[in-house]
Amino acid sequence: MAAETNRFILDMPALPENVGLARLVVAGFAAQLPFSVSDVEELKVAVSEAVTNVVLHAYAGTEVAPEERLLQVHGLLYPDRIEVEVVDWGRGIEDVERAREPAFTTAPDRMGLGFAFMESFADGVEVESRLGQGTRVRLVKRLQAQDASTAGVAGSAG
Amino acid sequence: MFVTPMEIRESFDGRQVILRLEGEMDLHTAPLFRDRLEAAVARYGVTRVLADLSQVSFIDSSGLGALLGRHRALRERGGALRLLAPGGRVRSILELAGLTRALEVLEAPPVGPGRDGVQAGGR
Repeated sequence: MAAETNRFILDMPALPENVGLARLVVAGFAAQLPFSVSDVEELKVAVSEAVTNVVLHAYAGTEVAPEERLLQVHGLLYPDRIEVEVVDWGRGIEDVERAREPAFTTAPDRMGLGFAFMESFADGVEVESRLGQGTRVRLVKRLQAQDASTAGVAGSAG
Repeated sequence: MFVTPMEIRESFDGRQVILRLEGEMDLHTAPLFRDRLEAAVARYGVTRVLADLSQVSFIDSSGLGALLGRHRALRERGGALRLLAPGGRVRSILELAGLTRALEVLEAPPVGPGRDGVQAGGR
């Protein structure tokens, strides 16, 4: 598998105001590949959902001090795709399959569509979680064939 | 590049509160919408709200949850939340989540006697 051509790590507190920052950084990073506007918008939704899950759930009910409630967003750029990993060091997900089911929430004003949106808007979603240690969600967005054929320059710039 | 919070302009046409949202609707900004809506319906004593989404550039499940949650809360009080003119990407996400079936979506502002009474928003 080809090595990534570019990468970034964004390290920040798990705060609601950082959800927008995360998707803005990812969108800027993704602009290095000739993604369509629609693809970038879809990626932004997927990233927003993954980061929102961390802010809402990763550290809830844990004894992790507020200043240590962190998340990282890793961006990895390949010639044919972008991978975004959203990482936390929180409580972990007990039942990943159940958490990925749509409408898995009882909270008012929430729809439980986080994972459903990730799966709708990313080409791949992987979840690794260890109880008491944290969770890593990997989102993959691939260049569509027509994107790559119309502008192959950005993908080979690394 | 910078992150802009959502701005909300509020007006009242004699029958319903109109909230004109501008910006991105997510976990951070959805509570602003909820709080402004609740404050406005309390102030004007109505339970009908029209949310103008034409200037909303992004929405995720947190924003959708806020819309549906306020619609349900207003409906319990005999009212409703209606949506006005969501843009293409926002509309497609609303459709994907089924909100265009759960909430009434208007393509243009309502016209009629109440429209003449729209007050300048911006608070």
